Amino acid sequence: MFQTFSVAHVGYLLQAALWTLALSGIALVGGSIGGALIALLRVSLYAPLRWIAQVYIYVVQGTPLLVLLFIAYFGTKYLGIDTPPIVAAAAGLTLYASAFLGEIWRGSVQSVGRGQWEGSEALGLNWPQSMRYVIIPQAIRVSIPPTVGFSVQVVKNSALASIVGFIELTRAGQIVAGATFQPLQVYLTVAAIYFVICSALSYASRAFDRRMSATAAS
Amino acid sequence: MRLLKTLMVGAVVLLAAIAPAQAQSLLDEIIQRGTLNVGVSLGTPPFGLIDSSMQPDGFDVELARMLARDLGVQINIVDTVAANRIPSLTSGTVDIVISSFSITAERAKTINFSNTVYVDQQVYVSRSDKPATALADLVGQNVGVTRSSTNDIIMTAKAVEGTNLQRYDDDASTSQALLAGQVDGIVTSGALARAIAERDPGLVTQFVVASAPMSIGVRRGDPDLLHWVNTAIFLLTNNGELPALQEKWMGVSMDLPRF
Repeated sequence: MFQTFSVAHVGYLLQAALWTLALSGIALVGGSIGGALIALLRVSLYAPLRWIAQVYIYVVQGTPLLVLLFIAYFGTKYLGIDTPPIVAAAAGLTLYASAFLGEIWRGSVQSVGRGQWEGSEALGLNWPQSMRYVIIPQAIRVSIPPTVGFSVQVVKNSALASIVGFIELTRAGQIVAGATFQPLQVYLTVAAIYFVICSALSYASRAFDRRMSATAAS
Repeated sequence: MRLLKTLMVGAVVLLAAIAPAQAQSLLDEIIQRGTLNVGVSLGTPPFGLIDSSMQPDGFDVELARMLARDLGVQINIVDTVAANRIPSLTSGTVDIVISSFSITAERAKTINFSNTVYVDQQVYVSRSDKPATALADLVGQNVGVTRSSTNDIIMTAKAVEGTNLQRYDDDASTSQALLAGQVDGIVTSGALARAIAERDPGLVTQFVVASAPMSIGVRRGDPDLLHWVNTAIFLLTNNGELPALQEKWMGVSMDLPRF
């Protein structure tokens, strides 16, 4: 009954890895937009806006991603809204990534010294201008390492999307392990694919970091 | 307090507004749609797995295809992990679940079970030099089970005190633990035990721990679809297709208990 782990299975895993990449990509793009908004709200001059962002972060960071995905998929169905799996997964992952990236970037913005704010004020820049030309360019450099660290986590956490019916890399690994009964070989292959994806991310971030440092030095 | 009441009344009205949309029988809806959505776990051999060309295969998958054929509609297999079988049904993500679905009184509160399609046995498997004839013999031994599967539930309830249960994430890992000698024995499905013995003849089925009748899960409140599924099982049993399917995947065919 069992097959032998073969090239065909590796092909199946690689195909599933494309879903992992796509889901992570959606989460990171959606999360960047949402996260930027949350970070701006968090450092806003208006207290109610800061509170809204604070509550959002509390709620989302305090909810396991699995539960977010479950609500986004099954919860909406119970309300009579037909959510395709891709929409549910994208929504759940975006909500999740927005909260964490928002908090990371809030920290980066606040790590820029008070003197920089005072300096830009002295130059006659208003709040949006100070943000745009003085604070954010410096905050980006601070934010790169934690952002990449979180992105790597998103890649691995996208495995939870198997609960909405996605056959992504981890679920494909389980299925192939079931068909071949050679879990060791299968999971080593799965680990190698994750490793390639995550190290590509780290490599890209180092390249980006070098470029940023070069601009800052010139 | 009044606000809460208003909200609750609002929710009821909203639900009532949604309900009529689902009043049409799911059976008619499936026929109109032309597709039967079936939840199957593809990581649970020999019930659901992928074949050498990476297509869904197995006892549950073939049974699903027979039902779609008899209904005259296309089949859509949705990979459904064990924990999602009931939410997938109640939320309407799939029409029916055929996924080594053991009938339990607890589950039957939430969904409807059709007549049985297979009676699986949970058996204890170990090396021939480590014999055991009852659960009492397992005291002081390491016994592998698959987390939150039927065998885990049964062993958690029935294991004699002093038995060391080790839980693994999927059937493949549980079997691997036995093959690698990390556990003294495992409790697993009888169908899987036969397949494991094919791979390593030194591993033998020692005794039956429990039997688990399996059936097809249907959403509650849809007697038409439930009755159609039961009719299809009746016909497949009578024309010999269901026994042949059991013989093909499980190596045995059997008389099935009925409601």
